Amino acid sequence: MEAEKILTGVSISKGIAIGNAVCSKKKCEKELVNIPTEEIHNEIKRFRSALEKSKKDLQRLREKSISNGEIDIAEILDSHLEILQDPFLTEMVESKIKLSKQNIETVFQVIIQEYKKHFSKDPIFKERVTDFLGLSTRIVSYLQPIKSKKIVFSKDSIFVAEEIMPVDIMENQKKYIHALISQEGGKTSHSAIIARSRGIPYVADIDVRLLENCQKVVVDGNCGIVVINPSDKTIEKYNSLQKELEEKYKKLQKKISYKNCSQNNINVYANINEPYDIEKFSQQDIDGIGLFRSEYLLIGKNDFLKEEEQVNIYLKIAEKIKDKPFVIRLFDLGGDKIFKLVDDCFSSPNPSLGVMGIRFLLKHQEILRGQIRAIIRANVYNNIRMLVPLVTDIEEILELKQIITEERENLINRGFSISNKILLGCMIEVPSSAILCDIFVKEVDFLSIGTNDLSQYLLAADRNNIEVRHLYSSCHMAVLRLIGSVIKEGIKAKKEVIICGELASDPRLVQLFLELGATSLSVSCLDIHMIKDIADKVFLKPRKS
Amino acid sequence: MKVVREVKVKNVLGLHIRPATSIVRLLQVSKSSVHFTYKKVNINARSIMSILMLVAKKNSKIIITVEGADAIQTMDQLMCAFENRFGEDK
Repeated sequence: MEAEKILTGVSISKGIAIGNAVCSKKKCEKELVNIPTEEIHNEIKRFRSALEKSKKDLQRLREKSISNGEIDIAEILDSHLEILQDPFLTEMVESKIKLSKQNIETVFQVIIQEYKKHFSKDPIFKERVTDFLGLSTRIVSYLQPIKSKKIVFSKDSIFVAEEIMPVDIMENQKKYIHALISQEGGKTSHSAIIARSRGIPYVADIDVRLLENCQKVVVDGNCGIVVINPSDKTIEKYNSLQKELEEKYKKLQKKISYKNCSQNNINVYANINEPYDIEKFSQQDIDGIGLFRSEYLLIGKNDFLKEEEQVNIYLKIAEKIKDKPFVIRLFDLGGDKIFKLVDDCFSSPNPSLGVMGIRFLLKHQEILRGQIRAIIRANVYNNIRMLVPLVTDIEEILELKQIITEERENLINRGFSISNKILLGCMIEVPSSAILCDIFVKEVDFLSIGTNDLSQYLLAADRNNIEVRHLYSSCHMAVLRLIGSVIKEGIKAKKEVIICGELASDPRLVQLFLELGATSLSVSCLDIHMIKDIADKVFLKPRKS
Repeated sequence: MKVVREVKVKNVLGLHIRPATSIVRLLQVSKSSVHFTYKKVNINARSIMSILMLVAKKNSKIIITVEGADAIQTMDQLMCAFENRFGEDK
């Protein structure tokens, strides 16, 4: 038996799966097949009939998606149908068959190579070639009299391919495909979106040749790891981890009685890093911006932003979303967020336990005061909120509040008419503030749980360290229980609690958070649709208990 | 009737598959011939693959040429769709 090997890739979709690798056949670099002139007519007929069958197939899939409420997938299929009906494409294929006197399979190979070359310059467009590749595979599969090419999936298949085509996932139910592994593929590809919304673990950026001759595979979508030829010990470890997670969810759900939530009373906010991000979604889709990581404005800058510059940036975003909340997190510098500007401040051997977040800002008050003034001035539409990062002690909040009052008066003295009060929120991302959140909640208007840092500090596990990442990403009971208690204190104090960080966009946890009483999740632009969709579905099916 | 206008791509991801699908669908009811010119490449706008092949990113300027009986209406609809980012994001 071959030795166990751990491959590190990129996590595309979370979850753990153990199963048998099913490798897609290598793209058959078949020899060029020439056809005699008298066969050309038949070859074109063969192509058209395959095209028709493919169309019907897609239409059927589309209807199925719609009836399953998978609108995202239906939209993707709409585009695919348009491609199949593209007159330019069919003309090109047909004329190529005529001119080159080669069969369709050959012609397709040539065309795909051309497209690949053409789109390869641009990463976003490149991902679209995958769609086309999937379509051509489908058409070609209908050309074969016997469907010998179809890959057969059994109960615990893990699909391995150089590239995963959306159709590969769409057509196979989750019970057959347990996980996905690919060489190529990014988080924004259609396949990735579908995998996430269906909860199929997916790891990309793996050298799939290494998987060709192996059978058993573990896919750890939480950590972006693939284990080939796992030892019995590893399998046991992952088996129990998987079981543990499942039981955890079940237990937690049993314990918590279902709250009377009416439909749509959940806020799904977007996280943005740069003002530009706001262009990535339509306003109707979000309930506001739950986290604007303002420190990203400083990346690559040689100087801190002037008050005026900041006012312009904040105002523009606030204006765009107008009647919805816009939460600006004060510059969160330090820890793993080291910027050129403040490099010298983080020479300590343990930056994640050093001067950062509000600690940094209180030490560099000129920066803090400038940002506070900018935020107050930008709050023309009365929708901006201020969020304080990495609070560990109530004194920090009290000091900050004093500074806000001072700067407010400062602005009024400077002749600005300021009437709107800015809501103040406290990040709950270290254990101390989480444990004492009942005290913090009295001093602020809302709380925001930063699940990434909270997990890291609670579990003493660095999310960037492969050795301990499993701890960090396995939704430890301690983290979930603490989140639950913060939500409870928020409800008691009648103040909003926003859940941010990676756990907020974990599809498996949405229901749990809602049942814990959470009313607001803030997730990355990529996950908004999925989370909204899940949140709605949860609400539609209230449980009896 | 022939109308020529220049239009800017406002979609963040450029003329990717979703906007291209919208264009092709929009033109299904038009009776005019519609061509896009971008970086000296001229394509038939009824072909989704041709639109994608332009690899037109955000802020690229595309020249639209519409020729036919309903050229003006078709152009208006196209301009409006580009302007509204094909309903994608605002």
